[in-house]
Amino acid sequence: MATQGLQAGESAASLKKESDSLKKKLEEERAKLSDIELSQVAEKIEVLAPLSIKTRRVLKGHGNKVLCMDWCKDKRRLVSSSQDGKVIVWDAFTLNKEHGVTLPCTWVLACAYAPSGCAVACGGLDNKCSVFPLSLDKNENLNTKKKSVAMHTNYVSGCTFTSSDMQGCDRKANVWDMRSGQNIQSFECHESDINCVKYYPSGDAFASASDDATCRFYDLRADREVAVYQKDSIIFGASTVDFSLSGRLLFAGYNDYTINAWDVLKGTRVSALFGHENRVSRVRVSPDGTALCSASWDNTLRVSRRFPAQRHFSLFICDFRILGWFHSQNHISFVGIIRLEDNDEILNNC
Amino acid sequence: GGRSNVPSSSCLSHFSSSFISSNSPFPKTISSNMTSNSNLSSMRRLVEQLRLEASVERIKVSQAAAELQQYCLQNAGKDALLVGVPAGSNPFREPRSCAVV
Repeated sequence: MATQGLQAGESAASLKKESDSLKKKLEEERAKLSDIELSQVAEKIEVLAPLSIKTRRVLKGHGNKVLCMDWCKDKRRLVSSSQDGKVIVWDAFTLNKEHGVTLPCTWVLACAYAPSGCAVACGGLDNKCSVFPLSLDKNENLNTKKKSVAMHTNYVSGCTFTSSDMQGCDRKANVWDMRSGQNIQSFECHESDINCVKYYPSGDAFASASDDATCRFYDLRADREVAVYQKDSIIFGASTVDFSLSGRLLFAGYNDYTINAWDVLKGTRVSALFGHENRVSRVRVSPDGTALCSASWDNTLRVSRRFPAQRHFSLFICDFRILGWFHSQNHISFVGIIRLEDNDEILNNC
Repeated sequence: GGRSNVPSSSCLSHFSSSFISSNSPFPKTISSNMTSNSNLSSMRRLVEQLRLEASVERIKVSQAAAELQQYCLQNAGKDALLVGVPAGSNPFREPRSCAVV
């Protein structure tokens, strides 16, 4: 292989020497600017109370592990894909399955909802990324309108309509410039494979989930890791992460069936969410930030929401109408009617 | 669930091994007479990559952390999973109903 020969003064030894010195310089530069920990900066801000997030909907219909899901911009619909080869579009509110399509392969590892809400894309072991336009006619066979937009030489592990520019399949997280195809920054901290990366909402940082049972937080401007989210009691790998709207919470799905909510700034665990009966494959916060959807190998998806903050009691009182009362010697009982402003939430809180 | 449940292992291992080899071109030992041209060019790529990464402008962690915190606090009010939402704006709200207690 007669490739570009050695340039003037270049040799294997000199290249090795230069790469070693560059690596050392990189380490030194990164260390120099590490003047404080993120958790120290966040020391003075209020500690978060445990989150009262509860599952509101359980989406059942897949015949095997649910591997991926994505929200529609309408905050209500979502698309999910499964090992059984099916892709389902759901109304997460009514639990209706609005569309369903079976791909010619199993393990549909990725799916995405178009920003317009008019199409979904998916891909898996068929090595293709396929786009299905959605129509109002629910009986229409989506397979007839399938468009394959990309052929890969190996399986499709992720697809999105807003071209994500980060990836991690080994122990490195790389940041790519989509225009030039150039790898701009790379971060190597995890002791095992990285399963998922997600940008912080401001775009200045990102988080990763790894098989080493930790999630990590990197700032792009400081060019280094700024936080590690881990606990001795968490020993199974993390498969997926997503931020809440403000970026204060990081939801991470684990192979031990739990979802942990981390305080991004303080580095502590705020809550653990239970419910799934197998690995959590994907967590995604809805576009308006009000709901968290999780997909799992237990064949279901769960949509979880939070109670409104400290509103129940006043609502309770002002909507309470006394219909009648009974009294005995010591106490008065009464029968009343309560108008429920938000049925679901109050019943759960009673 | 054990790791054996991961999709068709041959696919995965092929995928990861090709990825790793293209990203860690740095051989553990280099003996000059064994070094191939492809090895050299991948080393050259690595050096170029490292030069680029070394030239990145950085800010102090304290500044980055303060800005990350500021973003969180500024947007906390809109974060429904953090602080809850008013019932009126809840897309998952059920129709009004009554309950007898």
